[in-house]
Amino acid sequence: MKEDEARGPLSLVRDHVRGERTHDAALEALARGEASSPSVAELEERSGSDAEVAAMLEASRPFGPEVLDRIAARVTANASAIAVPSARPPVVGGRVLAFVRRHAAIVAPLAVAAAVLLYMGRADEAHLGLPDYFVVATGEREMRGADQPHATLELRGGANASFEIVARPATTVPTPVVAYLFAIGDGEPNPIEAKVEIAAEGSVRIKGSARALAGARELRLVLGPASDFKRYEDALSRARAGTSDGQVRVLVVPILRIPRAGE
Amino acid sequence: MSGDLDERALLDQALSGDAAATRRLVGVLMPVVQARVARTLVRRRAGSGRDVRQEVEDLAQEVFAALFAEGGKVLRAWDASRGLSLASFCGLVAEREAASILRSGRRSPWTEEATELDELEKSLVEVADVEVRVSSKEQLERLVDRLREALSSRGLELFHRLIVEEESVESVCASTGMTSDAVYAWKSRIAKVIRKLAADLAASEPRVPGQPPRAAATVEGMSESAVPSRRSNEETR
Repeated sequence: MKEDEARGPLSLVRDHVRGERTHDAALEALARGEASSPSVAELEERSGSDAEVAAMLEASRPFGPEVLDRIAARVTANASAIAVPSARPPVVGGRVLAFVRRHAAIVAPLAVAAAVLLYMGRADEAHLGLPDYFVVATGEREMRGADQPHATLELRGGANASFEIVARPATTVPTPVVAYLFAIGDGEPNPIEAKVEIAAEGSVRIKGSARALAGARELRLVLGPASDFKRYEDALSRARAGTSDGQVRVLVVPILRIPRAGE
Repeated sequence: MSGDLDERALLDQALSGDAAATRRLVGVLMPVVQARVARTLVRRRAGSGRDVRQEVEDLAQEVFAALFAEGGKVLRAWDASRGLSLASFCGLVAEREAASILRSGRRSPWTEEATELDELEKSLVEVADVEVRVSSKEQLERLVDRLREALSSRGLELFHRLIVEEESVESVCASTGMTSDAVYAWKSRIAKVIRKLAADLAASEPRVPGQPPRAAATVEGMSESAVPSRRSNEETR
């Protein structure tokens, strides 16, 4: 390695991070309860003359089950604290309603395609599929969902620009809907940060920042019945395939980047 | 855990709200989380006076809260096919979370959007042609902390594979499905961000009277003449 490179911040960072990890394997073994492993024994030996190593060993001794129980309980409690509406709004007839007319919309950040559920309809309707959807990207034309589910999202204004996508069902959705949004670029579909609202009749509105779309050439919005479409992996698989069927809709929104004047 | 499939299945169960699976997953991940938190805490601790094991437990709790926040956003970002085991991935999160909390007191930074590289890159041009040096171990530690905070989970993975482990671009392409152009772009951008953060830190250091701006002290015995005066942005390529 050239000396110049060795002195650059990149090399210093690399060496620092490597140095940080010198004892990681032994500390992890200790935390797993493998106190008799050779690497742990070696550290124990050093701890007599090295206060930092002694402190690391003490901090890495395994916790009892009560600590794990406590942590798991807090995680579970926090997860169930995420609001899901308990009251079911009445079934809406077979027509598409405007977003603003429904007060039952749920607003929630879409974190890595977090599911946003809306409860409506009766339990015996839970396995019904989804109707066709119309897709409208910000300022763009409206096109029919099933046969030609494309609307182009024109991005202007760089990374700070916002975008909005609205998907409306052709008829009222008879079942709770779950929505997952992915950016398609190189490699696997990427779940992206955006804010999602789902209205009572099944319309979906997504608001986000162009920053989240860096490197993406299109968006795929995967919609499915919440009762049958719970797994993130299934949504990812659908986004990858990009195909719809009677149960699940994959709405494709190509991204067109419009250079600013002078660019 | 015996393999990726088991990890994936357990993770899916836990993320679906299964309390027993969540408890099991916490048990599986706790050793790596605890070890990373313990190391970070001990190396940066400035005599807080608190019981170290209590502090480790508190920090581990924060790490798990961050992992499961927003419907498991961070955990869902893990993809075995990208090359890191679930434990290694969570170890990166634990390092970042613990360092961030100890540095700033801020809790659960992963619930906020990581700074996008685009944002950091906005002012890179002005860094490209000046000397960038790291003047002390403490400054280097701050630099690494800020880098971890700046990178998304995918960025962290790529940082470790490309920069720390010096894995080849071809190998990263093979396991991630990314194009070589995309991987090279990430590598270059991460390097630029490191330089940008180093420059920012150097600029924020108190200056010695009579010393020119950015002329920070040499690094751990390095002679002044050994410091390059200019460095290419393509350091990693």
